Amino acid sequence: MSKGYVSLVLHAHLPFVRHPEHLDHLEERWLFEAISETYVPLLHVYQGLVRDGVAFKVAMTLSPSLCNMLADELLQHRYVRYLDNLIELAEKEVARTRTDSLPEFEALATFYRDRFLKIRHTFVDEYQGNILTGFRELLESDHLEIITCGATHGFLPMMQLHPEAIRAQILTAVQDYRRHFNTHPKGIWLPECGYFPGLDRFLAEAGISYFLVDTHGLEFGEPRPRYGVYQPVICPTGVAAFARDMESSKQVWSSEEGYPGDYDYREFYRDVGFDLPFEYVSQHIHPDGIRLNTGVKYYRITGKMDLRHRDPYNRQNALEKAAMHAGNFMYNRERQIEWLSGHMDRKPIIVAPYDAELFGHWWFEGPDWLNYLFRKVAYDQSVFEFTTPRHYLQEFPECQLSIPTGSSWGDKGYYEVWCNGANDWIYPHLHKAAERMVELAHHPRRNEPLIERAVKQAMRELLLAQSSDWAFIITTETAVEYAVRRTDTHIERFTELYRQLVEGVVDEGYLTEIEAKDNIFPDANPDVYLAL
Amino acid sequence: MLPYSYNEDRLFLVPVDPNTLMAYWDFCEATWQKLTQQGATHLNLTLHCEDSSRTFGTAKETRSYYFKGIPSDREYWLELGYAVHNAVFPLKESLPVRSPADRPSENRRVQFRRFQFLSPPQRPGQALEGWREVYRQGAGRWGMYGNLADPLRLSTPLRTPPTGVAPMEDGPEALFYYNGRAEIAAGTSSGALSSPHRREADPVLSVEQATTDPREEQR
Repeated sequence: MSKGYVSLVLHAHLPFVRHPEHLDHLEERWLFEAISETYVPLLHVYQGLVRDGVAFKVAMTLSPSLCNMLADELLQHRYVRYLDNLIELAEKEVARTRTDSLPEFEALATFYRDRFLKIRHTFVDEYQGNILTGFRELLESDHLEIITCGATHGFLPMMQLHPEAIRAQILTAVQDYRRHFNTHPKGIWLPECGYFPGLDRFLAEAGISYFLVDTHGLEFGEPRPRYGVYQPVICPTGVAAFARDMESSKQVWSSEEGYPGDYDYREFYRDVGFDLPFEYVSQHIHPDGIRLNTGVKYYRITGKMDLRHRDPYNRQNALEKAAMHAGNFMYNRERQIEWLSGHMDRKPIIVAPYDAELFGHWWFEGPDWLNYLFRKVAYDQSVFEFTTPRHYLQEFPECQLSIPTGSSWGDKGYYEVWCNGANDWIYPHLHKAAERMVELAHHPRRNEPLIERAVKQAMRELLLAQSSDWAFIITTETAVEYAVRRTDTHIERFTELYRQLVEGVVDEGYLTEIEAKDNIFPDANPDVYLAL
Repeated sequence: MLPYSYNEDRLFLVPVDPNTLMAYWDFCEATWQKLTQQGATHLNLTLHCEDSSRTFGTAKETRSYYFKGIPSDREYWLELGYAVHNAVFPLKESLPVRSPADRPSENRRVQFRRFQFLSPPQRPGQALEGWREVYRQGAGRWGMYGNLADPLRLSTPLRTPPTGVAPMEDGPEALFYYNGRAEIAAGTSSGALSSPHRREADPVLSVEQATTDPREEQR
C-alpha cells in the first residue's frame, strides 16, 4: 500500500493565433511546433502506457484557446502542409548526409524523418486532423484528467474592476470544454495561476471544484494551512485549492539544477534552419526568407561554451539519461513522501505542475522522461502512486478551511509580470471594453440575428484582447511587435463593433470579415456578461 | 489607433505585489477643464491604509502611479484629487484592495470541512447573488466572504478531522513549508524538509512559538 501520491499537472496552452489573411504566418508555427514536439509525442506516451497496461494517472490543462485552434480546420490543414514540408526537409537531409558520408547525422536525419512520418500518421490517419479526440479518449478511460483554463487565458486579478469579465472568462471556458469533451470540467488551471481572494466564488458559480495556485499562494493563506502544500485546502465557497511543490518543480524547471540542462540532451538553439546554407533551406523556412527553427537539430547541449561548439546529438545516450533522471525523480519523491507520511494523519499529495510545452518543445526528451517515469513508478517502487487532484479529493474529502493569498506563478510570484511599466497601458482599454461589453449584453435588439452576431463577435474580440500572453510577451520582450498589434487589433475591432451597435447599424460586410478571422468560440454566449 | 482617453472620470487601483500598488486614472473633458481653469498645479494621491494615510503629489498630466514599499497584507484605497495653492479638492475614490501576504499567517486556526464536488449551475448568476453588493462596498481582501475573522458563517457544517493529528514540537505545520533550497538533491536525500520560517531571526515565528498551540484550538 502506498504512503502518498504525486500528481503531475501539465498545462498546455497557446494564445489563439490564426491568420487566414496570410498564406504562411510566422506565429502560427507556435502551434505547429507544439503539435509535433509536445502534443502528439505526449499522446504517443499515454497510448503506449495504455497499450502496455501500465497504471498511470496524469492531469492536463488543454486551454480553451488551444482547443479552438486544434479543432480548427484551417489550422489543421495548414499543419499538415507544414508537416509535409518538414518531412521533405528530413528526406533531403537523409540524402545529403548519406552523400556527404556523415553517418552520425544520417542516423539522426533518418530518425527525424521516421518521427515526422509517425506524427503524420497519428494526426491524419488516426485522428483525422483533430488530436483532441485522442485526449478525449484518455479522459474517458480515466487515465487523463483534463482541466480547463480561462477562456483566452486572461489574467483574472487584473479584471477585478469588472466581475462580469471574470465570469465571462470562466463560464465561456466551461461551455467550450463541454463542446470538446462532452462533460463538465472538475478543475481549472487559473491563467498564470493568477489568484485573488474571492476568485473562487466565480469557480463555484461555474461548478468548478478545484484550482491550483503557486506554493506561496497556499502557504501564505488565511488561516495558515497546517500541512502546507501537501494537502489541498477548501475555501469557504467549497472550492478546493492545490499548490505547487517547489522541490519537485525545481528538479525539472531549474535552468541550473534541472534535468533539461543535461549536456547529453538535445540543444534547442542549433537547428538546420540556421545552420545550413540559405539556398538549401529556403524552401523550409519562412517564405519571406526569415530563418527559423525547423525542428531538425543535430547537436547536444555539450557544455556551457559558445553555441558554435557543440557535439553531435546521440539519441541513445540521451534516452539513457532520461531514464536515469526519471529514476532520480522517483527516488526523491519516495524519500519526500516517506518523510511527509510519517508526519501527517493522511497520505500527502505532491503536486508537480509544469508547462506542457516544456516536454518535447523546450526539453526534447521530456516525453521520454515522462514515459520512463510512469513505468518506473508503476513497477519499481511502492512508496507512492500517481493520482490527479480529482481522485485525491475523492479519497480525502476532509480539507482544512483556508483562503489562499493573491499570487501567480510568474516571476516574483505575484502580478508584476502582467502589470508593469511596459504593459500597463493595456488595462485602461481592456477595462473600458469590458464595461462596454456588459452594456452590449443588454442591447435591446439582441433578438435580431445581425445584432446578435455583432454582439457575439464583440465578445470574441474582447476575450482575445484579454489574453495574458500579450502582456507576458511585452514584458519578456520576445515577439513584442506582434503582441502589441494583437492587443490593438482586437480592441479596435471591439470598439468598431461597439460603435456600430450603439448607433444601431451593423456593417455586415465588416462583421463577416472579422468573424472569419477571429472565429474562436463558435458558441459564444454574451449572456455570461449578464446576471450580476 | 487606441484612444488616449475615454473621456470619463475613472480611477483603478490594483496590487502588483505585497509591497506595490498600481493606480491609473482618466479624466473627462469637463474635469480636465476644471483643473485647468482653477489653476491646478498638480494631482494629489492620498493612499489610505487601515490606520494611516499618505499623500503623494504628481504632475497633472500623469496617468498612472506605482506605490512602492507599502506594507503587505493590508487594505488600501486611494483618493485622487488636485491641489490649487494649498487647497486640495477631491475628484475620485478607488475601490479598496488588499496587498497580498508575503509570509505565513499567524492565524493557526485549524478547522476542517468536507469537500463535495460542485455541480454546474442551474441558472446564470446563481452563485454570485449578493456578491457584487459586498464587493462594491469594498471590504477588501475578505469582502467577498464578509468578515474572514469569522469565515465560518457557512451553511455547511464544519467538521474536525476524522483522525487525530500526532503531537509535534512547536507547531506541526511549520515543518511543511518549503525551505527555498533543494535539500532533497539529485541522488541524495537529507530526509527532511525544514522551514526558513522557523529561524530565530524571524520575529513573527518567535512570537508564534510562544503563543497558542493549534491543537488546543482544534480540541
